[in-house]
Amino acid sequence: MDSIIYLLSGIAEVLTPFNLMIVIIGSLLGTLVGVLPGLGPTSAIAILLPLTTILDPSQGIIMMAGIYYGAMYGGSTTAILMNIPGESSSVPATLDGYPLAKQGRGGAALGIAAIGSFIAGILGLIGLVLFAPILADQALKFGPPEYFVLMLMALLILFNISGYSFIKSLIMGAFGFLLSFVGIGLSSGVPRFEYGITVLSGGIEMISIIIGLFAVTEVLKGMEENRKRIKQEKIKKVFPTRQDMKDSKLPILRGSLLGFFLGILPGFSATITSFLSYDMEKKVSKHPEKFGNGAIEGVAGPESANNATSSGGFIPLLSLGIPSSPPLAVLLAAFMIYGLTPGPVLFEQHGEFVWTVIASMFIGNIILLVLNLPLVGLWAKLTEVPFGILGPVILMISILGAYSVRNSMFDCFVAILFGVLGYLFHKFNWPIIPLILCLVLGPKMETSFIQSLEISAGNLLIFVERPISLTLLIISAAVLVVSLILMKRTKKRIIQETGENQDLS
Amino acid sequence: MKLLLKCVHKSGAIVTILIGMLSVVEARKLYPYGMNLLTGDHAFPGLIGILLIIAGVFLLFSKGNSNDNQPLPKGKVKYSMIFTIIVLLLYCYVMEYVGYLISTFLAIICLMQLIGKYRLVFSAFTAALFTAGLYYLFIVLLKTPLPSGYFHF
Amino acid sequence: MRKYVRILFVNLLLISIFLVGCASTNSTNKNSAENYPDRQIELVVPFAAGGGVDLTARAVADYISKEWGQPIVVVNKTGGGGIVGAQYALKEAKADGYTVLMNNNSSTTMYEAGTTNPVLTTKDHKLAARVAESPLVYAVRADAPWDNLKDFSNWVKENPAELTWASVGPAGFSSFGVAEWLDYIGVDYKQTKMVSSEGASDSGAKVAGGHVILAVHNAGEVYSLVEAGKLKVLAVQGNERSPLYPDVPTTEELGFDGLTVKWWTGISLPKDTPDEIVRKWDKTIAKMQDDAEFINQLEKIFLQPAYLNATDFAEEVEAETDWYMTLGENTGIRK
Repeated sequence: MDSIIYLLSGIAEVLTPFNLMIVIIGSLLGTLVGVLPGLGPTSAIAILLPLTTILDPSQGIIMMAGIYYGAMYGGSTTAILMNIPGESSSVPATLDGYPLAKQGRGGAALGIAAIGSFIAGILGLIGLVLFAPILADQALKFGPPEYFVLMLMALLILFNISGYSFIKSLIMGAFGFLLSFVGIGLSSGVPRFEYGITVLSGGIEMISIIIGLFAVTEVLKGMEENRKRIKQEKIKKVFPTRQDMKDSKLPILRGSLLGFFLGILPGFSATITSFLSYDMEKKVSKHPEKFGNGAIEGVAGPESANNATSSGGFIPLLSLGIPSSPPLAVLLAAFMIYGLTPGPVLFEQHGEFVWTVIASMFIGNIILLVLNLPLVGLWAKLTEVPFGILGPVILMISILGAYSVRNSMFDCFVAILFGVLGYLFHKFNWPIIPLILCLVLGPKMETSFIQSLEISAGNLLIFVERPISLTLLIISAAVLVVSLILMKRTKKRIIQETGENQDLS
Repeated sequence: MKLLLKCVHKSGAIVTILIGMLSVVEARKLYPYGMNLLTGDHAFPGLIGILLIIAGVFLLFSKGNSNDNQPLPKGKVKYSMIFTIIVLLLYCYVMEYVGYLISTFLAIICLMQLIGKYRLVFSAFTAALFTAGLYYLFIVLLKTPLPSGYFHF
Repeated sequence: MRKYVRILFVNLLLISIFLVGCASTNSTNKNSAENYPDRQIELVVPFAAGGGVDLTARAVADYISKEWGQPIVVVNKTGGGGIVGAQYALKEAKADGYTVLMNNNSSTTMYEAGTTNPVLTTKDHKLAARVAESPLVYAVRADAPWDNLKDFSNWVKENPAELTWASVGPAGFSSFGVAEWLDYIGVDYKQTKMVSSEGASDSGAKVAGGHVILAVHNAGEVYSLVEAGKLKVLAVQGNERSPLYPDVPTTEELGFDGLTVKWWTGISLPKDTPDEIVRKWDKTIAKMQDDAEFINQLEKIFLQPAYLNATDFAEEVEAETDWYMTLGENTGIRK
């Protein structure tokens, strides 16, 4: 009950002109990066982190959250109009969205996608409001051993979904850990891996690594592909017909619920849930033969599911501090720059902040719906910005963004180096997602490990002796098995549908 | 071609093992600061190092997947990519001396020549526009203390 | 053909930029101390944005830029427990008064006392003035069986091995606070269990959840958790009650004499800075302590104004370093 009162005061806070502007800018920027090829939410959030220096914590996080869910909306636009899934979670949207666009009903498909995303987003947020505080309250009981077990299992599950060979994922994850070790050690206060170089004793800034691996690499890839303009289908009417709405009602609801409940658990990415939802709709449908040739249900279900999953992802992020996907990992880094540690104490110490951010997501979703339906045409136009201009601008923003996090030129060189490395990783099929997740979670995991053993005086049994920790181990093992099975299935489906191996994020 | 694939695969494995050893060496160096074998700042570097060595050895003796390697770009594309990286590195290096304005303007022109292949006049015009735009964003709005070089403006 | 012209052009451009970069014409920018400051000043904060030192620095920057009519930019250079930023401001930047450091115990006295080969010592600082302080408080879980520090000390004396306490860095504020207190009540520091934490909110959560028994921080850092009813404060260090916890007794009231560890933040300049510039900072900060807006700002971030002039500040820092050295040697904090 308290939650609703807090939420209302949060909404009041968001509705002040300046905050409202921040929400609008954030969601528009998000849609923009979702639409533009070569920029995803992960790199966009990373590049925009310097904003944190002028904005208050709540405004900064509001904007970045806006970019995150805005990008989910934007991704479906290119998927439907041009058959280019911006992210792997938009693959199902291309299956029926593009055929619909070819039939001249692209507008209706986009409309349904926007409405479905909106409803799913709102349902996911309601779940967030109900569950997060309860979880946060319980989470105080989670001590260092529990956190360690939780993160270890989350990582194992996430490795498994990256869609590459497990051994390569493991190596890249370990490499991410190593990068996070550079700098002053937590328990000894002695610099590690610094080899007498002063800059290194300050650690390697994870934001520069992320900017390098995502933004710089993406530009290099773009140069190689020599991106050409892609013919897109005309949009006629944006608003779906009454029949479309009637057909999509249930798929949206089913997709949202499925996406949300799986989204709470680490290891179920938006890609898994959107594929599951697509297949589920096909199974329940009375006309399964229509799927693949322009069935509106095939757009409504998966689009709702992936949005619900992304709202659901905020629950473990805010209440436990565990990100379930790369963009959320960068968002976690943003929290840390502000000196805010997501987790049980966040709700106690910065309650007003948390509720303002949650309220902003409600408003942001409404803004996206209101603005995006009429702006669909404009967004489609933007995809025509030539790469020759976009590329240099992305590179410059990346360099300056990397500089401004710590005001250090060293960080720019790191970003460039990782841009090149990222390109080579891409070429030789080494997955970068485990690297990013371990880079962000590495310090937290090491902290929990050291703390656990300091409490137990070096006894490893502490991880299985405590009831919560033991329960978590058992549950995680079960989840790991289920996600392994689902993952195999999703991978097979992607290969079936697109004929290639994709990063699942 | 097959040989090259094998080389890349093997060298990846060898680099992994080397990095793992580096980490183990560092862990040994840190060991005296820790409390016991598993508690302290040396524990994770040690564990991760061992993990890397084991994984690297595994990789060394496993067969590479032939899908794993896409051909690297050749010719013009290759050179323009290498030049792009060089421009970026020089940009960071030079900015400390000549300041943000000049270096950014020149860097954008170079990058537009390399990536977009526009006419020089158009590139210069766009570069001026974006230099001003980024100046406003990073220096005026974000108050980033970017180097101003020898010329104070 | 055009292709080659283009590549040639790019190369030429690159070379010319490079040459400009190398031709480091040391423009003689003689800023005599008399008309200081005549351009923007960088106030370096070696800690993350949003912390006590950072917020104080922002309040100082607001006031002084109005007073002097030149912009003062707060720059956060984090990492290495404050040493990276301090080194940048004191050793790498020019000693011309345009790069100034906002320091704190953990990057000065505690660092020096806790490290056998410190890369930065008090001798590298020219201390200008102390700006603000905050007392140390002892916090335990809200439903813990002890009502004040006395009961708690008695329990610790009987069960030293049971005590777990959260530190922030092995030679940080919490470690020296706990070491001094344990030394006073005669308990061996090495018998107790130190649990490393990432900062006040991390250690606060560990104590509130019952995983660690004691957290020692400055008064403002645990305030929100005490307000939320998750923690309680056993004592406030010193002889003056804290306005944040008017009902909590001080250590002096409870009969602990001579516990001195407290949190402070102040202004440092590189050691070769002209004296007039240091004096100018000192004078302006002295004046700032009477500014209602500044005091108000400090209250909002739960700190107390605590001006000390350059000489007194330097003396105090020296005394503190000596005392922490002794503590560090006795307890094994010094490594």
